[in-house]
Amino acid sequence: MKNAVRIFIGMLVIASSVLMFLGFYAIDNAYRMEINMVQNIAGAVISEYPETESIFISSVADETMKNRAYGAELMSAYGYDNEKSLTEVVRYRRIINVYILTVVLFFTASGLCGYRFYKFVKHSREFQEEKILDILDNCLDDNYDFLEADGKINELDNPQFKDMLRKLGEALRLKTERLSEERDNTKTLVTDISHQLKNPIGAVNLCLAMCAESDSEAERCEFLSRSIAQMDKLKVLTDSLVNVSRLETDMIKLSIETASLAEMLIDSVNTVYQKIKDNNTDINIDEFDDILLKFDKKWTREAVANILDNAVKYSPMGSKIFIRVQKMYSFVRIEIEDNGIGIPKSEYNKIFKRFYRGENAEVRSREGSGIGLYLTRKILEEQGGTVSVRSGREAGSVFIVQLPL
Amino acid sequence: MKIMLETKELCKYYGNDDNLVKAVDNVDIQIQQGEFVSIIGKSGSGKSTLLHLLGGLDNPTAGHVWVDGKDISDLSSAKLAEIRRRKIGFIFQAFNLVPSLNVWENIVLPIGLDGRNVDTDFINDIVKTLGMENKIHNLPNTLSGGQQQRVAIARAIAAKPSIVLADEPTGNLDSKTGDEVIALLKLSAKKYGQTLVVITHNEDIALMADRTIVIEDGRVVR
Repeated sequence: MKNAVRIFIGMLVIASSVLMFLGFYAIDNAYRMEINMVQNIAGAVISEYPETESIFISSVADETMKNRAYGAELMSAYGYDNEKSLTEVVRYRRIINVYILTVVLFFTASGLCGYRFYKFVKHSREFQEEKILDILDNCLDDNYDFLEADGKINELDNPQFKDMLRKLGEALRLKTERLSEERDNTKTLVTDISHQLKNPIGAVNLCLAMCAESDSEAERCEFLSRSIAQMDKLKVLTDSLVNVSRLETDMIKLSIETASLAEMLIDSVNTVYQKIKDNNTDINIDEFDDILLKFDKKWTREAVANILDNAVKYSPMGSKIFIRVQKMYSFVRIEIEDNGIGIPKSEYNKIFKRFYRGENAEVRSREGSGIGLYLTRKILEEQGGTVSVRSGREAGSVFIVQLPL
Repeated sequence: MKIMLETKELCKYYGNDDNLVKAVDNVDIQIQQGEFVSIIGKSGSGKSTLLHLLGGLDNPTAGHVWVDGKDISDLSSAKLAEIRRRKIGFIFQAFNLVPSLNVWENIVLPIGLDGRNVDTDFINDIVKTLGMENKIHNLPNTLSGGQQQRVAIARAIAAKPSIVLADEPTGNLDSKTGDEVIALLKLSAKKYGQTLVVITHNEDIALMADRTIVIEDGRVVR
């Protein structure tokens, strides 16, 4: 666009210069003719009357033109006066014609160029508008190829449009990707949950069926109590599943507030207190200066409780669990160490996966939904934290939780 | 999801015949946008060479590397430099900060070298995320190892790359600081939507990633 304007202005400058030059040329020519006329007259008169030479010289140099009036009166008798038109003189007519022709030519040329220029701008604007409409159309069709390094967006001139469309395209693309991701996520979640529920429900069904068919009171009692046990398992499972699905579908919003880390840890321990007592486990929290942290107290408590739950579950009776807190530079580091059966290295990453229950038969024999650590990781990572596991100094495992300061 | 980094039959050989060293031997990997992948292997397993190939710091002997859909295997060094500046942020074990520049200057140096304008708000945000806002006028020699690596991280992401490649970022740090650095990398990669690849020989670090690739003798074994 700027180039076209520059070209147009350039042409205007050239046209004006040429016109100016022509004008100057015409005037110069007229001046030359004036001189020729005077020279001719001087030659004619002085050759006949040499004494008139000084009169001629002085009157040529005379700027006041004091003899003009007399001369005009004399010459008008011959028709040589101011009523004479310029165009009647052949010499001048020629110059005037050339001049008029040139002006007309340049006017036409400028007009044509101007028109051409106007059409060019209009076309270029239409071209750009078409490109923009094209890109917007692509957005509607979820086609974001125009954003690529060699894509259509680079053909736009206007930097503001370019920038805006790029931002729009990126934002829309991200939204569409997230949407389809979410949809896939929900699909897998629903599949997983229904899969998980099948077994316990099937077991309950079987027990009740056997109960109904049974003859003896004792057997009926047996199957009923088994059903009740299965229902308890089912309740635990569905509670966890409700938690997971709420978290996955963003129904649970983590509310970040400033709260005491120590209080959260103590609440966490209390959550699993019964199991701790039953297992006769000894929990040691190393003393530390309490830290006020920005985090979701309730859910982080849940997250830590899940780790503690596992620690107790997979530790022998009467063993110890250690909790250590250390303030680092950007994070708070919480280590939870147990002396339990430990976790094989190959499973370090897998234990945090949804519904994973481990390869070890002993792990599988205990109750568990395979959701606890998955929830823990999700909750912590949502807050910008991390959780990972190492093997303990002797046996058992150390869970390392990092929460951002 | 878009595939950010891809290799196909990637090879890097040194020497010939009897002295032939297959640093990287027929590696096929695909890393998606936003993933945090760790590449783990012992010393000499070829993981650093692989990172150099992924980041366009070296040309492969055979095979292809695609960075954000673009084949970088046969580009000239000028073109490679351009892609590195625009798309990739690097973090190395040895921090590599310029000792005569302060923290802020170290962070914005690559942007200035590329002739771009500094997005001050963005840089301030990174500095705050990494907890360095009180140290921006400090010289590197007044900072601890962990702090220096933080600055290196800020420098790597300040130019808004789409990919961050880290070669043993915790190698010179104690294990706890190392954990922190990895947590920070994870946090900022997620926040700024970046794809993160970390090379390490430390399994504990490697397992903090979404996915681990194991390299042995130049080949992917897992």
